[in-house]
Amino acid sequence: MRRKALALVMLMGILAAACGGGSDSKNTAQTATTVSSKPDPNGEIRIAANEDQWPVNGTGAKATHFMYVYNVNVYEPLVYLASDYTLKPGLALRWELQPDGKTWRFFLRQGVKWHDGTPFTADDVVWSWGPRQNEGKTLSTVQGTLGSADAVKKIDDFTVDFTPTSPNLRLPEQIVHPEGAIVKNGTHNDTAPYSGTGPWKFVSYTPAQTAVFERNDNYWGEKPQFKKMSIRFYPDPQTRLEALKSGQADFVIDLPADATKALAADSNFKVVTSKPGRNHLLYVNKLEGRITNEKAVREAVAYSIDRKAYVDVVLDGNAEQGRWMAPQSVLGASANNVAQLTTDLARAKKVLDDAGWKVGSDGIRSKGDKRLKLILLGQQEVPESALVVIQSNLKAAGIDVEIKKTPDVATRNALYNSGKGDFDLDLEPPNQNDGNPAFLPVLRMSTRTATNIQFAPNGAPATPSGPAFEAEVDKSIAAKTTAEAQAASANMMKILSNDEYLVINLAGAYRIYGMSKNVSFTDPHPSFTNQTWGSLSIAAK
Amino acid sequence: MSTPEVTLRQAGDAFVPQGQPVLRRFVRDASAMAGLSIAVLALLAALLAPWLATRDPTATNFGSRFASPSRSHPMGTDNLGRDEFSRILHGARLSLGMAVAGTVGISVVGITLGLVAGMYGRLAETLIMRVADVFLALPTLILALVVVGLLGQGLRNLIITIVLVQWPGYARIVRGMTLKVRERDFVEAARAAGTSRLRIVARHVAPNLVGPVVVLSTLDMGRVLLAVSGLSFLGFGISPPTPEWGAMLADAKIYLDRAPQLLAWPGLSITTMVLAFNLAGDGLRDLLDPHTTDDGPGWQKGRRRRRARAHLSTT
Amino acid sequence: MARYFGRRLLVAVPTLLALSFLIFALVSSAPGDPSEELARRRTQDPKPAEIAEAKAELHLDRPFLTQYGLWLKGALTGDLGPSFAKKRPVVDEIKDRFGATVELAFAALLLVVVMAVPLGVLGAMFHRHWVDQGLRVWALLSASIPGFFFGYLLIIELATRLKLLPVAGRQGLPSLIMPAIVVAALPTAVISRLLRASLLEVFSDDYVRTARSKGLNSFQIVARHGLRNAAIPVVTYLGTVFGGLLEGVVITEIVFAWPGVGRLTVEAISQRDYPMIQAVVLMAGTIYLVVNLAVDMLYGVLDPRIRLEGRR
Repeated sequence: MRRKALALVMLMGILAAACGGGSDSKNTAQTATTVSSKPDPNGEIRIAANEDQWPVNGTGAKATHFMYVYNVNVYEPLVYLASDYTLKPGLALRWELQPDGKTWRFFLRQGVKWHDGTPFTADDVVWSWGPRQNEGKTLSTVQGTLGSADAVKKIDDFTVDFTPTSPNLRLPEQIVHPEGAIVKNGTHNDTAPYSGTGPWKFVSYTPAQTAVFERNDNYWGEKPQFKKMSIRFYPDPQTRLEALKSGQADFVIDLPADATKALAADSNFKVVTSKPGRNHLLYVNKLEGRITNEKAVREAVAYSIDRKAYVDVVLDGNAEQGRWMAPQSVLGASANNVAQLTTDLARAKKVLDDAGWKVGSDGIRSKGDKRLKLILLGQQEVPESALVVIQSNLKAAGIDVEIKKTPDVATRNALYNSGKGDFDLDLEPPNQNDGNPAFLPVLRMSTRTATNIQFAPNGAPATPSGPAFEAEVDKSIAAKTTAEAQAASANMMKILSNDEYLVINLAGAYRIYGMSKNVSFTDPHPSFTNQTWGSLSIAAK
Repeated sequence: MSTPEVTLRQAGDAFVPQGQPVLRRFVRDASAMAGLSIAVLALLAALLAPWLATRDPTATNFGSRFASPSRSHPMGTDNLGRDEFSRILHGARLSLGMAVAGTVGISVVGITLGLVAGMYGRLAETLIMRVADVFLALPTLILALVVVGLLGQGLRNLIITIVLVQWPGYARIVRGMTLKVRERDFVEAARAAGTSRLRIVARHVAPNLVGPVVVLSTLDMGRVLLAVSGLSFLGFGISPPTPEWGAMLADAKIYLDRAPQLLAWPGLSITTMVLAFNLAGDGLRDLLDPHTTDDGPGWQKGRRRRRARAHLSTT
Repeated sequence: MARYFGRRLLVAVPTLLALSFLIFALVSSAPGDPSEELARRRTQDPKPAEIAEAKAELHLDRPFLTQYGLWLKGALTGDLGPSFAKKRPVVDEIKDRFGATVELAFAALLLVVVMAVPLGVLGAMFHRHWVDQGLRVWALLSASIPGFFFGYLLIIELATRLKLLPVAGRQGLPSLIMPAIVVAALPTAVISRLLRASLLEVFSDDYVRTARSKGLNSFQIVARHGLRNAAIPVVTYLGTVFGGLLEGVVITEIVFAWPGVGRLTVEAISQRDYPMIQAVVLMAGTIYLVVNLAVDMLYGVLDPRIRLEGRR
C-alpha cells in the first residue's frame, strides 16, 4: 500500500515538472528584420487565422453577407481604404459629387476581368448595390449608405450613379466596407463559385477548418507575391501561436499580445504590428438613477484610470495609451483637438470629495447611505486582466467595482435595450472599419442611430448635456470635405471623452501578426476587415 | 433504461450496512487514509484560507507580474501580480465549497425524492422515477451546460445546475435502498402496528440510509468538483476577480508558453482533490461493503460496480 | 428474446419523447425574446414588423404546445429551424460538424479498445504484482485529472516542447492523436480495471481451475475462457462509458479547437442560439439513448438471465 502512495506522489511530481519551468522572458521586442532572400513567386503561405467567420448560404430568411478579411481580396470594393485611412481607387478609378448635391458618380476601371474571365462592367455594380438585396440578401451598408435598393443607376458600361434617398456626403468613405464589395451580376458572394475580381481566387473551403486561395495572375493591380494562400482556423489564440512555433503555419493573424516579446526575441520569428486599430473603450452609463449619471463620478473614473498599467498589463505593451475612439489617422489633422487624459488620482479624489463622496472605513466612498459602487460589464471576450486593472485603479480613488461578465451578446443586448441597463461601465473593444471619420461616435452615441441610448450625450431626456453633440453629427454629415468631417468627428470625441467623460479611452491596441523569419509583411492595416495581402511575401526555402 | 437501473439496484444492495467493526481496516488502508487526510487538510485549509493566505488574493501588483516562486510568493505571482498561493487557497474555498454545497444539495434533493418514491405509493414513484429516467437520458455535462447557459453565470446558478442534473442518480439509489429496508421485518412489524409512514421513515428508514449516503457523497465530491470546475473553465462560473480553480485555469491558458505554472497550480489542485476524494470514497465504501475482504486486491466484486458509476460520468 | 427487445424499445420511445419535451421546455423558458434576438442578428435596428416576422418564423406566435408539436414535427423531418448565429439551417451546420466529432469519438473508442483489453488482462495476470499496482495508480489518475488540464499538459509536452504533434485544429491523423488520448483516458482506465476485476472473478471459478490443472497457462485461459465471460459485466457499463465519451468530447473539442459538435454546443450556448441548442442537445440525447438501447440488447444476447427478467 505504501508503495502505491509513493508511486502516486511521484506521478504528481512528474506532472508538476512537466508544466513547470516557465519564466518571464526578459527579452524586449525587436523590430522586424528584413528578409535576406528574395520572395518566392511560387511560394505558399500557411496562415493561422481566428475563428471561421464565413457564414454561408442563407436560411431562406434574410441572410447577411459574409464579411471576412479575404472578402477584399476575392471581391473588391469600388474604393479601398488604405492603411493610413485615405481612400484609394479600387474598382472605381475616381468619383465625384454631381451638382445636385446628392448624386455620386463613379467612373469604373476598364479591362478588369472576373475570375471566370468575363469582363467587369457597370451592370455588376448596379446588381451588387441593388437587385441583389431583393434576393434575400440584406446589406446593412447599403441600407445605411443609400437607404434604398433602387439608388444605383447605370449611366454607361463604366459609369454608375449612386443617388441615396437623402444626401450622403460620406458615401465614398462608407462604401470601402467589404460588405459593399462588388459581385458579378446575377451571383452572390456567399455561394460558389465565388468568382470575384480581386488578387486572390477562391480554391476551396471546409467550414471551421480551411480556406484555400490562389493568386489571380490576371489581376488588374499589383499581383500577389506568392502563389498560394491557405488559411486554417484556430479560434484559440494560444493554439494559433503554437501553430506558428511548431512550424505548421508561416503567418499568424491576431497573435496574443502576451506572446509578442518572446516571439520577437526568437530569431526564427518576427512580429509585425499595425498602428492602433482596436480601441479599448470604457463606456459610461449616464441614465438617470445610475451613480454615473453624476458627472463628478464620471470625471473621477476618467482620471483614476492608469492607462499605462492597462497597456502594460492587458496588452503587454502592444498598444498606445487611449486617446481617441478610433484610429488616429481617421481624424487627420483634427486628431490633436482631442486631449490625452492622464492619470490624476489627486484630481479624481478631489472631485469626489467636492461632490460629497466621503471615504469610509474600508476605503470606499459613500454619500449618505449610498455606497460608491459601480457595476462593470465585460463581455465574454474581454480578458479578466482588463476588468481587474480597471477595478483596482478605481479602488485607489475609493470607488468599489463589481465585475459582471456577460456570457453572451444576447444578455448584454438585453441589458442595453431594456433602457435601464443595470450597469455603470461597459468595456468593449470596437473597430473602425469605415473611412467615415464620424462612423464610430455616430454609430454608438447619436440619438438618431444608437440603440444603446445610455451612452448618448443627449440620450437621457432628463439630463440633457446640450445639443452640442448632435450639432457636430449634423456638421459631419454635411461636411463637403473629409477634413471638415474629421474636425466634426474630433469635436464629438472631445465632448465624449474630455468634456462629458462618457467614453474613457483606455488603449489603442495594435493588430499583431507573427510570422516565420522567411515571411515579409510591411503593410498591416489598423482595420483588419480592410487588410489586403499585397505586401505579404515568403522567401524561397 | 435498464443499464443504470441494474447497476444502481445492485449498488443499493451492497450499501446495506453491516455494522461490523471495520474502522481498523480503513485506517490500515494507506491510500484511503492518504485520500482522507488530503481531503480533510484541504477542506481545513479552505476554511482557514483568510488566515492562512499570506496576501489578499485579489490585491494586484502590476510591477511584479509572473514572478517565480519565492519566500514572499510561494507559488509565484500571476499575470496581474497577485499572489498565486493565496489565490489557490482562496480558490479552494470556492471550488471545494461548491463541491460540498453541490453534493449536499444533491443528497438532500435525492434523498427526499428517493424516500418519497420508495415510501409513498405508485403514483409518486412512477412520477419521480420517470422524470429521473428522462434526466438520466442525457449525459450530465451536456445537460448542465444547457441549464447553466440558460440560467446565466454565477455561483448560485452553478450549484442549482449541479443539483438539477445529478439528483436523479441519488433518488434512484435511495429509492432502491428504501425498498430494501421496507421489506425488513422490523419495518413490516411497525407497519402492521399502524405506525405512520413519516414515523417509519424517521425511525427506521432514514437512519439506515445515513452511512451509504455519506459514502456516495464522498465519492461524488470528486465528480462534482470536476463538473463545477469544468463549467467554470468553459466560462460559466464566477465573475472575476474571485479566485476559483476552473476559472484560474481558463485565465491561465493564454499564458501557456510564458507561464505554464499558472496552468499547473489550479490543474494540480483539482487533480489532487479529485484523487483524494476518490481514494477516501473507495476506502469509506469498503467499510460498508460486505463483499470486500481485508486482504482483497484493489478492485473487487462489489467495488467495481460503484467505481464505474462514480467515475464514468466525470468529465 | 424478441419480447425483451420489444420491451426495451417500448420504454425508449416515451423516454425520447419526454426528453425532447424537456429540452424544448428548458430552452423555451430561457429569459429574453428569441424573435427579437433573431431579428437583431439580421439587421442592427429591427423594426417591429421584422421582429414579428422572426416571431412567426420561429412559431413563437403560437401556443406553447403547438410550438413544441411543430418543432417535433420539424425534428422528425430533419428541419430544426434556422441557426441564429450561423445564419443557415441548424441541420446543415450540424452536418458540417458531425464528421469531425464522429472521427474523434471513433478514434477514442479505438484507443479504448486497443488499450483497455490488454491492460485489463495484464492487470489480472499480474494480480498484486507491481504491474497491477502501477496500473491502478494510472487508472486513478486518469479518473481524477480534468480533461481540460490533461489536454494542456499534452499540448505543452508533445506539441510545444517536443514538436511531435500539431497543437490543435483538425488536419489529418497527427492532429487526431492528442484529442483522442484525452477523450479515451477515462474510459480506458475504467474499462481496463473492470475487465481486470471481472477476469479475476472468472479465474477463481471452478472450470478455470480445472483448465489450469489440465496444464493450460494463464494466457491460454484468458484467451479461451476469460474474455468472453469477463465481457458480460463490462458490457453493462458501455452505455455509461459512451456518455462519458460524449462529455469528454465537449471539453476536448474546446481545448484542441476541434471543429465538431461539442464545440458547436458550447458556442451555441454562449451565443444563445436557441434552435441550435435544442438541436444539439436532442441529438446528444438521442444518440445516448440509442447506444444504451444497443448495449441493453448486447447484454441480453450475452447474458440469458436478463432476457428472462424481461418476461416477468
